[in-house]
Amino acid sequence: MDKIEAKRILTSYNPRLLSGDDEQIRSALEIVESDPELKAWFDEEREFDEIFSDRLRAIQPPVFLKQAILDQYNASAELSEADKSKRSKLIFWKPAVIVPLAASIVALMAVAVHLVQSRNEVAKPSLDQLVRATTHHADQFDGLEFVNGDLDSVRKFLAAQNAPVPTKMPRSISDLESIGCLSFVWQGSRVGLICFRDDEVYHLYVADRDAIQILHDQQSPKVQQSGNRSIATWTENAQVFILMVDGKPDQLARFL
Amino acid sequence: MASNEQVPNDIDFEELVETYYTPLYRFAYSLAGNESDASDLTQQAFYIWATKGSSLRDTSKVKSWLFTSLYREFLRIRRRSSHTATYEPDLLESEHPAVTPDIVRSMDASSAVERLQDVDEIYRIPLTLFYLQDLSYKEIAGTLELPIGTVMSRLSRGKAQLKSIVLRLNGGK
Repeated sequence: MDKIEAKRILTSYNPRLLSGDDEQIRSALEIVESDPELKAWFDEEREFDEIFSDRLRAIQPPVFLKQAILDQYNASAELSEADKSKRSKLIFWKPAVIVPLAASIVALMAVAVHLVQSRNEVAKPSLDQLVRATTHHADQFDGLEFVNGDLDSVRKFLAAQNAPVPTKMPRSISDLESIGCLSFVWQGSRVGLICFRDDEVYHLYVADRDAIQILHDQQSPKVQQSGNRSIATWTENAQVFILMVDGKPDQLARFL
Repeated sequence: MASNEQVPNDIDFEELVETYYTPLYRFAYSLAGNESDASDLTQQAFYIWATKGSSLRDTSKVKSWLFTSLYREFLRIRRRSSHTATYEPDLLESEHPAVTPDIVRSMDASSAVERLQDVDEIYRIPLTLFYLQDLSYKEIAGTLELPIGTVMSRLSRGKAQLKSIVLRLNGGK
């Protein structure tokens, strides 16, 4: 092995990334040790790499991220439990052994169809879970991805992120001054958030209706209070809307 | 092993998140270049684990599995945005320019990520994994589904590009 070859081998050398002993690297390191010029190059190279690594490893995740991951997991676990429970109930519906064979087959087929349908239903998170997730998101809120007072620009930004863009929303909301928006992935689907300013900051979350398990469409908004926060939910044009504000329900009522 | 963290034996999800969410987020941030996409990618990697991770028998491969899932998710999103660079650029910068460590020392984490973003994607991803030091060379090769020799040559070319970029953007300071 010559000096050039040793240099080539050691350009991307980091002992921490080696899984075991490497004959080529050992030879290259021996050459480095016997050549002061090569040694100076190698020391500088390692120093560059160490500093650059330190810089990248200084990146810290946002404070909300860990909890958001755990919340998502817990929501999935709840779904899975619901799935199990539904399936166990279905087992009790099986006909007794004394039922004639033909009837059993028909019944079992019915069970199978129902099971498939049930599984499809529970594969999606519920609206309550979405409300809990967005409430948690609002609690941990630490800034928008796109800050802009023009609602059209905000819509374009969300569209570019492949996030749901409100196709229709109450005029009283769209007349408010927008602050900006962001989008995030929840349970495998993207959710959009637009913030508006009036007397308070209003958070409007939008999700695709198809991504949520909704038994009955809710075209009239349903308002609930959670702590100091008021939350309205409704469905419209294949979308689910959640509007929230830190305040009393009547602060929402005037927009709905 | 490239890093010293303990791999959970019975794969408790909370422990798994505690152990890996920071290294995964760093990788995601270096790929995406912004906090929002990096958070989404990290969440998505754990979501995939929650839905498909039980198929993994060898618990020593959990870390590689998560990095691979995150990387595939990144590629999937990139394909959808049609920004994928599938070509291998010509080897124009195999000669490594001399960059003194002082130049890098003056940089912070976000400028380090910005410099990396300017490296061709084909080199940037192995280079990012190299600098994050969370995976061994063998694991990097596994995550990127490349032979180890290809990883090493991309690292070398990527480093040459990175040094040129650092020199161009920080050299005069």
